[in-house]
This record gives sequence, structure tokens and C-alpha cells, in this order.
Amino acid sequence: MKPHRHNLSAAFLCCCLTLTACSTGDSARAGESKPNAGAEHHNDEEDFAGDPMGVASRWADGLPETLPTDRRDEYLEVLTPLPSARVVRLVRVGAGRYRALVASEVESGRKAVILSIQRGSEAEWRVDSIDIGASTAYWPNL
Amino acid sequence: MTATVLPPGRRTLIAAIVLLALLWPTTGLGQSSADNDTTTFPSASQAARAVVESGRLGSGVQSLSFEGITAMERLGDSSHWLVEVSVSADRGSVRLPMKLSDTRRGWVVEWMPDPRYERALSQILDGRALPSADTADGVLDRWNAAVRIPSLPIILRDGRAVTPVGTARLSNGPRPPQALQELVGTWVNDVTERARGPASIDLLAAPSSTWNHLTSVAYAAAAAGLFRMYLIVEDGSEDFAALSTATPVSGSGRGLDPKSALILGMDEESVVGPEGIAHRPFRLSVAGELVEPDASPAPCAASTALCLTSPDALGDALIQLLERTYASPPSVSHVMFAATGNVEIGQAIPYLAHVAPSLGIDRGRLFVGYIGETADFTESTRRPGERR
Repeated sequence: MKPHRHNLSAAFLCCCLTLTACSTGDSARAGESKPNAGAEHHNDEEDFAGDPMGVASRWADGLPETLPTDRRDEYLEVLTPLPSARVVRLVRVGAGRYRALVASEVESGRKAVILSIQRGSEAEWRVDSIDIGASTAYWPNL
Repeated sequence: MTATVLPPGRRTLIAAIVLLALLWPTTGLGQSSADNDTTTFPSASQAARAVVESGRLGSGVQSLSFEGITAMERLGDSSHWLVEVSVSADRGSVRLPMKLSDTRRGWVVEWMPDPRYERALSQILDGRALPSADTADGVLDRWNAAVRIPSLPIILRDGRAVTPVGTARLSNGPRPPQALQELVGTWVNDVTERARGPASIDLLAAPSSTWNHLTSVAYAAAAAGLFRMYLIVEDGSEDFAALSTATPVSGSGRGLDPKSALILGMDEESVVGPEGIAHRPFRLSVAGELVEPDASPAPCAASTALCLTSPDALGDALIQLLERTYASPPSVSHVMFAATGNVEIGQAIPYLAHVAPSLGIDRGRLFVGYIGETADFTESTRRPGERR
């Protein structure tokens, strides 16, 4: 027997959607995020030893000398104004792997320099690669 | 006489841990340990580790050990950082927020959770008392592996919401009590310093908590702009899993659009069939239209769209109903899973966990909703995010 549809003003739907109390939420918080899938989990404490934030901070403190020469102008444009560029976020993305965002400010629509920080073969933390991405990376999204 | 000489870094850390333990009672919300000239650490990791290894966090049922920093978020233009660390216990790993400050002398501990929150967390860990969501492997993220910035954790149990900034008793209805709104406000205003990035909560709910309680928390969070809600569950693995949902933010342009939403409503009362098996009735609405089969699925009532005996059956039953109802698949941008207030969270979440994978939608588009008389919270609900 084929199901049918009909317009509904029943309490069910009304009640489900009587949610305007929350419409005052700060939509400006919405931004972009990276998917969680693929993140690894390890309980080995050694995976987390060390200080990726220190590595990221030293990289930011050394600007602009720490910038790679091949895309220097592109990076400098993202980091403008350069004196206020600093680490604004650090997120673990897997065992022994972090991403650090370096930006002059974090706003939707702006870009940031994203450092990939990994543990080396001798357990030292180092900047593995540098890229440009959304400054709101890893924010929750709708 | 001989003495063991420790490397300078090691000596600093040990001294720091001892000092931190001595000075701990002076550190509280809004009270900077830097102001008290307390311990500094050479790195954020060492400061966070010292917090965990001080023993204070192990004051509950289980002792916790530091695994590492999972996320750090600079709070505005200040030197303050909201930090989330991974800590392990005998029965799994959890995330724990704290606040550090990067001073010229080093890193100091600015704030850490209320001990009552840590005790409640330990009790959750000890009893593994979280809802079960047994979905296929890979559907849910490991809670500690979720790649995200720090979140406000809230423990729901015994009619209370226990947070790192205090505890609020919940009412029997969906309306968030003033005390809960104030706690969320404290988190937004004082802990995160109104930074724009932290906009999520982790909900660790006892399975016997009601959907009314979940709704209370969701409303309080959404009204302060915390629109992402991770439901922390057990999925049969060793560690906890996180089921990503959205709090009911509507009318913002980014939230739920009723005209393109699929709403699945779970009734409180199950129906026992002649064979003695309990069936759970669901109602369904797509783009503002109620979907009703011509013949109600036995043994449920006439308005029932789905009458299910287990969460595993939800996916196939829902797809089949949509295929029978629509010549072409409806365009669904968002899905809301709603329930009546007295439904226990432990009963609802196993079904909720199957919704997004069944429909092939991004988990970011899965909202939680409420069926019942909501009245208009707008009149009496002060925005917790606003300073008083």
C-alpha cells in the first residue's frame, strides 16, 4: 500500500520547530572546519611528549626569516600586518602530528599560515611543511 | 657523599610540580596564578602535564595521567590560552579543559576545572556509564582523536548539569534553568573571554537522563552561540566515541531550514506487539510534510511512520519509506532527531547514531530537537553570553 503525504500543521512539526529561542545564537561563530575522520588515537605517552607549541612559537618569532623563499610574497600577504602575526591555534591531528595556525588575526574569510608539525626520528618536534589555509580551520561548523 | 644530578629541565619540572601542589588552592577562575607569582613552566606541555600529575585531578575514583595536549586556542589578543588535554584512566581516555597563560617568564596555570567536575568525570569513567551507540566501525570519531578546538564539557546525571565552572540543578522540563544559563555565561565570558572559536559542548549524559535534560542543555548552549554538541558515547571499543550533532540554532541563516529538513520524532511510549517484543514508534516529516503510511506499521498507532524493534533497523526502514513515498529522493539539507521530553537519553542515542549514516548526510547537518510544548523561551531567557 502506497504511503501518502499531506500538509501538516500538527503539533509534532510545530513543536519540533519551535526553536526560535535559539535563533539569537551568535552565527558569527560559524566557520570552516576540517573533518575529524582519519584522526588516529594512541595511548602511548611518548606520542605526545615534547613541545610542538614551542616549535610553532619560535617559527612565528623568527618571521619573516623563517618563510620559505619560493612563496615568500604570498605568505607575507597572508600574515599582514606582519608585526602582529603569531600562533593563534594548535590542534593535534594525529599521533605525533599537530597543526599550528599563524595569523595576524582570526576572522572568517581570512587566511592563515598553517604549520604542519611532526615528531622527527629522534623524537624532536619540527616544522614539516608550511601551507596557507582558512584562519577558521578547525572551528566547529554547521 | 654523592648526589644524583638531574638535567636542568628535569629539575625545573620537578620543582615546578612541587611548587604547583603547594600553591594550588590559590588558583581559581578569574584569579590569575600569575598575579600570585606562582609557578612558571618552560612550555605549555609541561604546565599542562604538571596540572594533571599534581594529583589534584586524580581526587576522584580514578587517577588520571597526562597523555598530551589535544588543542590550544589563543583567547583574543591576550596571552591566555584555552587548552584541552588528553588524560587517560584505567577505563579510557578523556579530554579536560584548562587555561594557561604565556607570560614573559614562562607558562602559568590560569584556571582549571572545578573539583566537582573532575569527581563526576571520574565516576563516569569508573562506571563506564554513558549511552551506547553501537554503529558500524568508523562511523563515530574517537572522542580524544576528534580534531577540533576546545569545548565546554557538561556531565548530566542525577538531574544536575556538572560543568568545569560549577553545577546546576535541572528542572523536569526542557526550559534551561537560570543557574545553567549562568554557568554557560561564565564559560563564554570568563573562561573563553568571549573568543569566537570555541563554540561547542561535549555532553556526557547518564543513560537515564531524560530528553528534557538534554534539551535544557542544548537550549542554554545554543543561546550563547555554542552550536556544536558532541554526544559522548560508548560504541563497544576501549575508548569513548563522539557523536557530532548541532544544537537547535534556527533563523540565523546557517541553521535549520524547515523547508529542506527531515525531522524524525521519537515517541516516549513503546508498543508491545503480540509476540511480546517492544516496538518504538517514530513520526517523520520531510520539508514540512508529515509522512504517514496508508497502513500504520503494526503494532504502532496510525500516525506512525516507522515502528522499529531495534536501532539497527532504522536505516533500511527509513530509506524504504522514503523510496515508497517519493518518486525521486527528496532534497534534504538538514536532519533533526527529536524526542518527547521523558524519553531517556540512553534509549534515544542508539537510534540517533544511525540517522546520519543511514541518510548519507554529513554529521554536521544533524540537529537535535524536542517534541512538546516548548512555550517561547525567548521572553524569559537572558542570553548567557551577555555580561550582566
